[in-house]
Amino acid sequence: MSEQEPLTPEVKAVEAALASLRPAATTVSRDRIMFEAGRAAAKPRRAWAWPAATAACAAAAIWLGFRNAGEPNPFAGGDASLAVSREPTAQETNLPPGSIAAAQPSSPRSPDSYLYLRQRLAAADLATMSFSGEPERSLPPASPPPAFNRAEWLRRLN
Amino acid sequence: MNFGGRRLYDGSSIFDPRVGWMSVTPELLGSLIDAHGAALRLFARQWCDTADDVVQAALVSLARQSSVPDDPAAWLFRAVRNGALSARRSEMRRKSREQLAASERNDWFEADTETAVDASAAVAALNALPDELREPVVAHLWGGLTFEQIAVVAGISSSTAHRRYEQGLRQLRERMEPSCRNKNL
Repeated sequence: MSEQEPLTPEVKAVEAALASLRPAATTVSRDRIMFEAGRAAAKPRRAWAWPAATAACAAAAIWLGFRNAGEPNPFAGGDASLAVSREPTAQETNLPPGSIAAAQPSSPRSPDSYLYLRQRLAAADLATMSFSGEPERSLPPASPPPAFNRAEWLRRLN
Repeated sequence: MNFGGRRLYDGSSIFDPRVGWMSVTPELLGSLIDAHGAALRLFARQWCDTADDVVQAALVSLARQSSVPDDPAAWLFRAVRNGALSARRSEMRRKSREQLAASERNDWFEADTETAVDASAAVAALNALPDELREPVVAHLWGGLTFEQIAVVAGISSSTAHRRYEQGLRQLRERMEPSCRNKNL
């Protein structure tokens, strides 16, 4: 205000004359304002948060769907990049032909694993099984179980 | 201003170093209505017919603030300005120019015969002023805002606000000279 020039007497006279006018009183109801203010304060201010989060998740799902739509399904048709090939272990080579272990090329390598022990049991190779800390016995591989025909079964049952 | 042991709006910033910014209380709203209600209505009336609705919306909007603005009066005048300009745009769409001119009735000032100028002539002269000249006149003369506050409200510099105020008064004097002569001013 210091750099502002003072008003001339003529303008000051108009200013004083206009200042004698009183603005019309507002018809705004104070009670109405208090009621509206209280109602507004009671409304949740972040009512947009959940809709916004839902919209963002939906948009992300749609975007991911379009993004992955053109890519091949890695679980259909056998992807060569996912195939695991390895040489059979020494124990697996001793299994009799036609056993379960021979039919499952992806047996675990650890001799203490559940699948390996189960394969050995199924192959009736219990005598040659070794456990942790126990040296493996070098027994000859078990012969395959005898193949019974119907006449042999009837004979044994009688 | 003190009321019931609570500090209310006294024209300055409402900041208590002990509790921080005060929230908008009913007492504060009441004191703002008492101090600025009529001026806010007049400030809105220069732009639109629905001045009371605009003022009410601005007060409710203030009540929703989490903390009291730095300058509640300037905040309210700015909110009223925005609301009134928005309401005027809506009115312009609804009404024709002739209807707008017909709606410019004298509900700006109290009908008081003890004034130095004729209220109807003052309203006509104010209506004839451009918005940028009328706004600082109304805000300073009847709203009691300083030129710094007007600068904040209108988004201009304080020197520009003062220059427009003076220019507006000069134009009002030219337009109101006949009525002033009738009132022996």
